[in-house]
Formats: sequence, structure tokens, C-alpha cells
Amino acid sequence: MPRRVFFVSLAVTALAIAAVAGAHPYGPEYYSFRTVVDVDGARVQVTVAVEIPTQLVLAEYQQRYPDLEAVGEKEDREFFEFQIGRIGEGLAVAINGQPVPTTFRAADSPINGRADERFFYYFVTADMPGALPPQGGKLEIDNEAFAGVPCYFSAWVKSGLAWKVTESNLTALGDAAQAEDVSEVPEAWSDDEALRDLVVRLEPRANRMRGAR
Amino acid sequence: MRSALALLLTLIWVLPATAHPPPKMDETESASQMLRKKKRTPYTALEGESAADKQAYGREGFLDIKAVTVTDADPLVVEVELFEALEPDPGGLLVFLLAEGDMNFRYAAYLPEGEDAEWGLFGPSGRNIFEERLGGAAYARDETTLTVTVPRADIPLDDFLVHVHTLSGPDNDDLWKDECPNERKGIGVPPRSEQDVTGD
Repeated sequence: MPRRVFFVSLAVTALAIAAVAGAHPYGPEYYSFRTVVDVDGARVQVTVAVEIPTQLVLAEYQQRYPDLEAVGEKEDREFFEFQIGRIGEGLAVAINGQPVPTTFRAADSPINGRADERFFYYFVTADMPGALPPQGGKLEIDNEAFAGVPCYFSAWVKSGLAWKVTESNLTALGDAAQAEDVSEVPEAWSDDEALRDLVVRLEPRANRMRGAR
Repeated sequence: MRSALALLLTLIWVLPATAHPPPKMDETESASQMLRKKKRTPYTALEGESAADKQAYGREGFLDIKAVTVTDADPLVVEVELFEALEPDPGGLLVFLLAEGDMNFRYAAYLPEGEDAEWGLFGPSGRNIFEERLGGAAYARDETTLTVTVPRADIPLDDFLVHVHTLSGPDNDDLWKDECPNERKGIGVPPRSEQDVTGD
């Protein structure tokens, strides 16, 4: 795109510029949330990967611990738990309108809470055995963590053989989001705030053996 | 059998991917490691001057830049000296920092205008949408100097461009006959002999 064309679009209004900025899903200023829901029988497991711009995290860390000579593993751990808690407390799960009591904890990953020049990476997970009734129902994940920040979202519901997704607010993401590796796949991500929360309806698949008769 | 399958699924279960390829463990650092490393590598402020002819580059909507000075690297602090004193702009003022060769700006800072903004002439305001969206902030140090602060992130300090643009300028294609007429290159990384702030 010629640079002048790009700048014409910038000149109109401030909001227009913000919108253009949203066309670049991999800018270092954007947060990202990737949610994977794994349904196995009545068990529901939700895992969320969060990327937070490195500079923003470092600024907050330094504000919390101004004396850089005095920080180390203890402070890193404390700050990590603070971040995990902040993400986890922002997430809530409900099935058929009823809140599911659960706690998101740090997921096992060697890079959980660590960073490269672009992002800090955080992973939280919650396991909810027996949460889904036999007749299925509506699963909602409310995400209020880091509300209001520029953010990209992606999600995938892995419903397995026993369940099928009959309704979902994730259709805008298309099939691209239904993959293990969606890094650097623009179609798998959206900055639509409507995708911040996840709403899907799960129904049991028909008995395969009976259907085969 | 069913529980064994569940266990197997649990064992092979992997974390969701992020928007970017996640780094390997040895490519990452903790917060304290990063901050300590940054502290060990102080940045030498550099200055550059422009011999740009104001008349040659004058375009309505763009402000003519006299010089760009990088005073700090992390966060990136850039002082932009203008040829003319700033005047209140009903639409506000934008400062773009662009990686050269990249059509997309990396950071922008916004000086809003309005009665609620306690600027004097120009100055910090309460809400800065570009600070929120793009991680930049700007204020007028004096009538002809803007100070822009953005996260360091990935902008290459040895090769970036600066534009200052009014939001209330005319919006027509004639304005854009030449590409980015008032941009200035800011070179901020030693060696000092290579620094340059050119007019084109």
C-alpha cells in the first residue's frame, strides 16, 4: 500500500487511525488471549494463553519494585503469582447460566511468566470434572482480565467425539482458529471485543452405534 | 479403560498456542533479569540536525521538523524540534514513529486539544487514546519542541522516521502528492559519525 494512501486514512479522525492500527494483529502493543476448551465426557478443561507487551509488564514490575538491586527470584515469583491471580480472577465459567466454582491456576510451562523482547507469556488453566450435564448445555466463559486494553482474541472448543458444538460466538474466527498452532495465523485472531467472552452450546452426539444400524 | 484414555489425553495435552510463536525457554528471561540487563546497558544520547529547507517540504497538515534527537532508548524518548512555534490545533496533533521500509507506523503519540486539557499551549491531557492503543505519549516541552515517549519494543533505533501531523488539516489527495513530505530520519545508535537527520 502506498504510504500516502495509508496516511490519508490516518488524517481523517483519531478514531480512524485507531481502527487502522487494529489491522495489524502482531504489533507489540497488543495483548492477546487464546482460549482452548477441552471437553471430555462431563469434564471441562479451560486453558488460556495470554501475551502481554513486555514493556508494559516491566513498567509495572519496576513500579512495584523500584529497587532493581533488591529484586530476584522471590520478587519474580511474587509478581508471577500476582499476574496469574489477576488473569484467573478475571475469568469465570458458567454452564446453563450457573456459575461453575473453579480456580484458574498457573499451567505447567517452562516459559510461563517469562518474556522475550515482545511479550510476557502467561498460561492459566482450570479443570472442572463433572461440570457438563449429560444433556449438554450452554457454556460461557466470561473474561474480564485486562479489560479495555488493545487486544486480539482467539479460541477453540475441542468437543471430542461425544459432543458437538451447535451454537457459538466463535464462528467469525472460522476454521483457522481450530488448530493447535495458530501463531502468526491472522485469520485465527480477531480484535472484536465480542470475542472476549466465549459462548458455546454443546449437545451430545447421537449414539454412533445406534445410528449405524 | 475410560480413565486410562482420559489420563492419556491429559498427558498429551498441550498448552494453547499464542499469537506469536512462543519462544524457547533459553530465549526468555524473568522480569528482574530483563530489567537488570537494561540497566547495565546505558544509552548515550545522540543529537542530529537537519538542514532541511522548510519551504521545500512545507505541506499543510504536516509540521516541518527541524531536528530529531533521541535522548533515551528504553523507553524510547525522542525530542522533535519544529521550525515554527506550535499553535493550538482543534483536532490535536499526532507524532508518528515509523520503522523505515515499513508502511505501518509502530507508535504514535497524540496531543489532544480542548478546554479540559490543561496544556497551556500544548501539554498532557487526561485521556490519550493513542497512549492506550499504541503505547506512546507526547507533550510539548516548549513552543517548538515535542517530547515523545514510546515503549522501546521493536522500533529500530538506527533507522526510523518521524512525522508530525495535524488532525485538522485538509483531507484531500492533493495533500499527499509526495510521500510523507515532512518526515525526518532519526538515527540514534552509535557510532556517532553515522548519525544523520536528513530532510528526505
